[in-house]
Amino acid sequence: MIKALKTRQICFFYIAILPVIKFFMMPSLVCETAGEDLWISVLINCLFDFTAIFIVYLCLKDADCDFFTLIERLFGKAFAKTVAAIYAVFFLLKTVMPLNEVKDYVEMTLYITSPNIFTFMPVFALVIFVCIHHMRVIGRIADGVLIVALIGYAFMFALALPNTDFEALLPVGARGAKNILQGSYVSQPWFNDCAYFLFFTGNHVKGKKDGLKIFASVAVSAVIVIFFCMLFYGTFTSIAFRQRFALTEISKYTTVINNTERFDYIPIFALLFTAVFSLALPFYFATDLFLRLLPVKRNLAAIIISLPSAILLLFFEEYFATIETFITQIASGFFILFGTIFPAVLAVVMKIRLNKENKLEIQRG
Amino acid sequence: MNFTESLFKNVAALKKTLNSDDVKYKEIKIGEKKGCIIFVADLTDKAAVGELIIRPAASLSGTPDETVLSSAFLSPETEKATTVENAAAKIVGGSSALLCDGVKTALLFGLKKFDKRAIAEPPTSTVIKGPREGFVESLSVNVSLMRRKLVSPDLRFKYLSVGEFSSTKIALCYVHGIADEKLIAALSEKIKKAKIDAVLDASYISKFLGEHKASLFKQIGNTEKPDVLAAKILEGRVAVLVDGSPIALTVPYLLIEDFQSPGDYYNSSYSATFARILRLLAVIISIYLPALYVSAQLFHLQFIPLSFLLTIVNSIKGIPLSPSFEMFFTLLVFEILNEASVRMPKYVGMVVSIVGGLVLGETAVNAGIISAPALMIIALSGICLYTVPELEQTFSILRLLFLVIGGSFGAFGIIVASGVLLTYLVSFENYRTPLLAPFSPLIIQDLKDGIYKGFMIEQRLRPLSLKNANKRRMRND
Repeated sequence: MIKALKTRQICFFYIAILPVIKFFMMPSLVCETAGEDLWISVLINCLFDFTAIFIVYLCLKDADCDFFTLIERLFGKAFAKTVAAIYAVFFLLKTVMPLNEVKDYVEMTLYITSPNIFTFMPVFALVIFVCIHHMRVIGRIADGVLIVALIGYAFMFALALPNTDFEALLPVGARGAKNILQGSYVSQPWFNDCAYFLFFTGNHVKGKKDGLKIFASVAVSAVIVIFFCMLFYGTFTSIAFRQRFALTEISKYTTVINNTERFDYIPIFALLFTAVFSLALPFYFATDLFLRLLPVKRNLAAIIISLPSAILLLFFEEYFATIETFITQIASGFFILFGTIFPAVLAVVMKIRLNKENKLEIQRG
Repeated sequence: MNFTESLFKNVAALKKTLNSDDVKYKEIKIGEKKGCIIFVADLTDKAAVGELIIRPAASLSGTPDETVLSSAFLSPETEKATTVENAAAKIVGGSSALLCDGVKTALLFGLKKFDKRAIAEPPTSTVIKGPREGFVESLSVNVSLMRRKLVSPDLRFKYLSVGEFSSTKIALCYVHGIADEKLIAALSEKIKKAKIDAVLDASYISKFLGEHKASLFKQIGNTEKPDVLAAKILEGRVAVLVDGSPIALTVPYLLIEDFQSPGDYYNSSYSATFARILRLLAVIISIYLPALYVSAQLFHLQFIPLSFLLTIVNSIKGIPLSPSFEMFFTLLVFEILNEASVRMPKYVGMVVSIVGGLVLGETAVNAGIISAPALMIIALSGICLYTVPELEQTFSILRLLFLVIGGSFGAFGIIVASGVLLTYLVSFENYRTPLLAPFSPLIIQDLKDGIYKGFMIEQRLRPLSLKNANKRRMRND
């Protein structure tokens, strides 16, 4: 079986594409409860993700197909379809917050006058275009985007660093465990990146020290997000929770920038370019799962999958606050369950089954 | 229709097939038999016909049969035809045919002679350092140029013929042991399947070789220089040489190829790298600058530095066109001037440049129809595009698309369009070779001759982006 991805591309995916989407609204949302301890909340989420990826990788590293195909092989079609349906919903829900926040970000910070909602709608052209391609293209996008993302990170951090007061992050743990955990809980929609890994495991060309490379890239991804959160809080301190669009705000106060010479838009554009792929990927995986449920053409599946989000964006904009509350307060449990716990537990069960199968095969000779 | 033993009937049949005034029929004596030489007057070396066919024919005695005739003539290129159609096709291709009474076959002699353009430096790829010779329209000359470049028995040519009316000779050129045999077979198959009236240029064939019929991007590489072609086929590519065209096609094609100038390989690595970075930047500027300028004016004034903003404000005062229409109009005028200057004779072309570039531009600014910054941006964008002339047409269409998107959706539209473009480019493959290699998929080894031009000594391996049969090209330490 020809593998769609290289291990390197998975690493680039974690380093370049996934962190950016956490730079918009998530830091301010976590600040509301965790305050100066926002980085601890983020760290907890990152540790959860890391652990889940670690378990899934160790259990399924020898598998020759992805997680969902393996479920079908080991547990039958009915269970596989149920899981696929749950994860299709999972990925669709995962797109809600990022889509809305990027739309708001684009409308409120990028344009001098509030533009028409249709200014944002071309993003669905990209979403559908990405969705109709083979998984191989996802890997290649990660290859192509890496340099842009790295330039974006470097510029953004360099611009924000002079204004950051790291002392504002002290004392560590001042907000208390409850608030920190609450911060972790509300930011679940942006994390649970182990769910992506379920498509990658068994679907990449195996090489030396794959595990180490993947874990290192997940760790680097976490470091980037945590460092961004630290910079964010260090820049705005007690008013950080009001800064909904961290990406634009963080570099604004660099002394060399004034209101009409925002050259910090160069890294912002670079990161936004990466973010649009970050937006498109949950749709891609949802499409992939949808195709396991219904035998339709990929183009049609991509349109069907994108349609609810487009409708939500077009017609239910005024309910965004309610949607936000639902996603961050109620659906967060769903995200933890299926983004972290379920894959890890199922991977262990699958490993046990695979071991049994192997033993039986050996006994049969 | 097969030839018979009757000379009269055979000549009559040929005259019926080749009913044209430039086809000459000369009756001669072959020993005691009668014969006839048929040739196209303007395609044949008549002196050679006299020396190598008529004179030996006259010196024969008795009644020579087919076996004697086969070895009686001095022409080095001899073949036989048993049908009238086959012989006719060869005669119009420049061969001379000899018919002899009592013989059922026609002897064909390759004694072509026609005027050829002298070997000169191709105008599309001039170099300061390095070889200056370029391909010409004659396939045989081009083959000889390649043979002179690569003196190796592994340099192979595979001849094919395409075109119902042109019967154009096409040569697949490759290095045996380096080129992928599957690729050679696939190309041969595609060329054989090309059913077309005539192949008047290599570009006709390139349309049949591309795997994506409606692609905006180039799928087949091309060059007019034998040194470049030699380097390309040594990397594992297969070349397609077409009789009548000075352009050699190369397959597979990588987008980076057109950012690499032949001169890069004859200059220092530092200057070559610098030149490549410049070309890449120039292309980015040329595609994005007009779109970003328009979107900044319409939607994102905060991007523009204050002093420049004041300049723009002063210059657009009283301009009747909206920023996007102004830019679109200026771009349109530029494209028209470009098209006119390419089509017109050289001396008129100069006038068009002066009138268009200087007079029209300045008058339009003075008259308040367009602003000076818009004119400057289009001029800069236009010049930048010519740093990679091979992709000029593709990039000018992209520039126009981005301008429309920038004017309609602003910077976010440009970002999304760039995303679509990247996805398209990374998914694009031709003959199992990704267009964007070695950047996506990333092939670190090949980055030594990407935007960065590594030292020659570093490039021990042939590009891994291409499916070549032999990876090592340098064996010294």
